Amino acid sequence: MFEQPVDLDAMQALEKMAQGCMKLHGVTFQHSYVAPDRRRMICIYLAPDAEAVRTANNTAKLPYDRVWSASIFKPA
Amino acid sequence: LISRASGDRERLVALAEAARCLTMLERDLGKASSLLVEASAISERIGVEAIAVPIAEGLIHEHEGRYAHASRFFLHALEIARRDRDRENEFSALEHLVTLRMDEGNYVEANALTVQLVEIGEKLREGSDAPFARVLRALGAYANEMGSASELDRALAELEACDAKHRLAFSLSRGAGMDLTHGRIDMAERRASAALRFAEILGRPSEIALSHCMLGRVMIARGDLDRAREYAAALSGLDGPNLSSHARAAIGSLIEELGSGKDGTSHGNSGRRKNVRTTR
Repeated sequence: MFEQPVDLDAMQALEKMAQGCMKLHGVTFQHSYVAPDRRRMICIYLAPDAEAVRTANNTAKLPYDRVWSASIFKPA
Repeated sequence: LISRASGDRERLVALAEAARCLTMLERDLGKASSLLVEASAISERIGVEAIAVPIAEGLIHEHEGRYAHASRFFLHALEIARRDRDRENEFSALEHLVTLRMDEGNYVEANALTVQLVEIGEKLREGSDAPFARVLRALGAYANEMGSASELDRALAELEACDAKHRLAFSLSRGAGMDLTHGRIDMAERRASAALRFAEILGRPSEIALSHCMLGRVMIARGDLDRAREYAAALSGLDGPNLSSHARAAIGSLIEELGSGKDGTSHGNSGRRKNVRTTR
């Protein structure tokens, strides 16, 4: 959740800055889902564990509320 | 991150953080050392301290078994974090001190530090910090037989829900060692096997080695020397130069206990991945 609508260009610049750190931790950014008011965002990563994503985000000073592991569910 | 950092201060932080990442992951420690030399030179020139420098220095000394030096760097990092009211790094510096003391076998001091760690952990954002602090507290209590195996299990289950595999591998392998001391061989095997699984997913050489050693010791306790030798053999495929002094010592004592040399079976590494989401 962002107090102000998120600046997607600034966020992308931070993501790019974090690429080296993410690579070291085995984290690959996939894509994000952004709400129309740009105050909510869900980012999808491939990673060995949730902690790798927390560490990479903390190092790069990328803002986040929480990180959790998930598997893909598709309706039958 | 480093090549994009423009000013001295940004470059200092970028170099220090990159060194911290490499040392935490036990990857290319030579490169980490050279990044730290450059970071320290900038730090001295501009009169600014980056907390990742003493933490990474401490991790390198710990890796090489120079525990007194490592302690000094972690204490310095703790001082900087407290001065700057930087709770995340205060937790990080204390966490390294606690785990260092545990690996030294100094549970009295580890337990005293864990009290502070739990307090800070409670004030941090959602994540694995507070659950890990509680696991370390439970480990300390279990080591002194003041806490039970089931208390440790409960704390570990909470940590597992946060999906922090390195912290889990550390806790499970040390917990397995305590199980063995208390004569709980099946429990030790269960924990050491889980530690190995987590360490292998992350590809952390020292934790993989420590888990194999623990499983080897479990088999010796059972009197199954053939299986103990299989675990010892698996150690020869590990990344020797990146193994910590603690892991090398554990391998040495397992080999000594078995009274034989390593016999060269390679060791696999399943780098499984899964989706991880962040909510911003």
